[in-house]
Amino acid sequence: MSESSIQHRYATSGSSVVRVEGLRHDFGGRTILDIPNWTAHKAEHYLVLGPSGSGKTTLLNILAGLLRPTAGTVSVSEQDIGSLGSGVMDVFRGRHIGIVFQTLHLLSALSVADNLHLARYMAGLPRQDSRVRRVLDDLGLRSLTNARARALSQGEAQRVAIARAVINEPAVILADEPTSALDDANTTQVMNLLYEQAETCGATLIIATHDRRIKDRFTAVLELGARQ
Amino acid sequence: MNLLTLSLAYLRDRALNSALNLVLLALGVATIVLLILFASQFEERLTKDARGVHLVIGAKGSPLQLVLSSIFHVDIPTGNISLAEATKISKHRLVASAIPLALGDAYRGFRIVGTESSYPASYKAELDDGRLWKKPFETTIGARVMKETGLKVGDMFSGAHGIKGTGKVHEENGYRVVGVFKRTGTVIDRLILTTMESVWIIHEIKEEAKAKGLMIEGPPSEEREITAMVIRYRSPIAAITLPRYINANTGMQAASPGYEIRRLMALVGVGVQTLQGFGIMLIATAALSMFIALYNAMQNRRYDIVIMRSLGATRRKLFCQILLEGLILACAGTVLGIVIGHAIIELLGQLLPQARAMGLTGVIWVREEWYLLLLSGIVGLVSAALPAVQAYRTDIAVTLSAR
Ligand SMILES: Nc1ncnc2c1ncn2[C@@H]1O[C@H](COP(=O)(O)OP(=O)(O)O)[C@@H](O)[C@H]1O
Ligand SMILES: [Mg+2]
Repeated sequence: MSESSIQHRYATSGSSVVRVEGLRHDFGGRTILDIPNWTAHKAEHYLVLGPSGSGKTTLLNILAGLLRPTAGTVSVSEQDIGSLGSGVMDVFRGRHIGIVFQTLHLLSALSVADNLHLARYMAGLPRQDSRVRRVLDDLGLRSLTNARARALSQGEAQRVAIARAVINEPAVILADEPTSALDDANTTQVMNLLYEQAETCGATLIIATHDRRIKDRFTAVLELGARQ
Repeated sequence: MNLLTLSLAYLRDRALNSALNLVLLALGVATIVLLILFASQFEERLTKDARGVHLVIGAKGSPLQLVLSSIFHVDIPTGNISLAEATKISKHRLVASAIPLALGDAYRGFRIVGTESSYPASYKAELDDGRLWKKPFETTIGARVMKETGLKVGDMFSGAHGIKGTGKVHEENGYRVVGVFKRTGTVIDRLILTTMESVWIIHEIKEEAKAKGLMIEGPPSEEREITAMVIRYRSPIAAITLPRYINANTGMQAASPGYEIRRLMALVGVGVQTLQGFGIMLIATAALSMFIALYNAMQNRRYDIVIMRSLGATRRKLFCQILLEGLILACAGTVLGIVIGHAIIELLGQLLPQARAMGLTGVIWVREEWYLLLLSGIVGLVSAALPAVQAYRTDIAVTLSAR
């Protein structure tokens, strides 16, 4: 039903950050995802490519432990996340996984800086103003530190979402269609930022997209096929 | 950033709505606090003034009026009784003590009461300055009288006819202040005490008597009258026999302050309860309104919840955060209501003459107010409970894939 292929451009030797084995996910009896074996290594970056409806978001949700797969195991930082209880999974996710959602979902009641502070608080990490300031600086958001998240433009909100994903220095950053709403110039900028930030904190970047403009930078592409 | 600041941020985010609910709750709480403070002080005041008085004897008429006029000094007296007849009762073996009272005049709203030194003693009144009255036209005044009229030891003043002190001024008979009592928190604070002779002289001696120079003597003893006599029993049995004996065998009336106060409080209680019901309705409305606001807000916050979960927040944490939001609003509203209630009572106590006479104050704490705080906690939790459960149950994947 579903056809997945893995194209490694380079042979990789780093330790695995994400490992998927025998993964399958069904929605209402329909198999959406079927990935027998896939590994993402430390400090390398991956693209999940496929047309709309091919299961990219579903895969990222599973990798993030937000959705339990129908079958198979997922390990993040050598931890089988399927074996974690809901509460423990939430805390694990907060510490090890940064997520940039397709629709950004900033907390509109809070300021830009508080969105970042909240990410640390929810993950049970101590408040660290210097870290928040540095990330905001790196992403060119310094002047918006106290702005309400609600008042941001699409491009600004996208950068805040990236800032929030990297603030806890996760092992893996999952980004869902981070450029789909952006023009070429903004796409380049956002991709550069994501890339830089992932490098800075030594995180593995996994980006789901149908945007072939950004294919070039990546070590490996996980291509999800269109379903019949 | 923690659950508290997060909750405050959400409350601030819908500031107008939060403020409206806050005010609604505060009004309900203030209404109840107002009534609690008033009723408790009113009753305390009544009990304090009537402490140690088992029975009041006076002219026939309304027993409540007799109690009000001769114990609380607020109503007009029912009339006069013969001193000789009253004295007979005071000699009864069941009577431990009896204090005669002669009313009639007032000075700037404060009643002048002719009585004996045992009267202030029964309220444990102590002298602040000077001494007790001894001779006719000497007076010892209450603390409040001094504060409001500015009278002090050595000052002269003239009483005016009628208990309000607005009638004809008895120019010819000047009273002199010889002492001032310390504040007692009882009716003594508002009274001007003098000898019974002073009252008799002013009211009984007409022009002719004055011409004969009988002023200091007063009327012959068999004609002397008093307004009332307050009595303490020697034994509880007296409560059964003495009032019945007096009402049946004399031209006088006996009234029990305890019974009349209970009757009065029952009447006042109906009004207090009605208003209290109104206050509770306001609180219930506030609770409902808070629930609706939070419930509606949850629709927009589904994604916020998913985000916080994805950031590592456990279900329990989010559940608590929303409960906290309800609690904060409810507690803030209650505290505001309590402050408003106390402020209004204090203001009434300062500005309203009747309330001032009662010694009404907002600077007290009544036990029932703890229950109000508890109630507000419950209101907050109940109004936030369902939204919190919604947050707890939110399925991340389903919410994320819902477009
Ligand atoms: N919660 C869900 N219930 C049922 N079907 C779903 C759900 N989420 C996604 N799907 C279906 O799964 C398929 C893959 O969806 P998705 O992962 O969002 O694709 P993509 O992100 O690649 O566009 C789609 O056909 C979609 O309709
Ligand atoms: Mg998608």
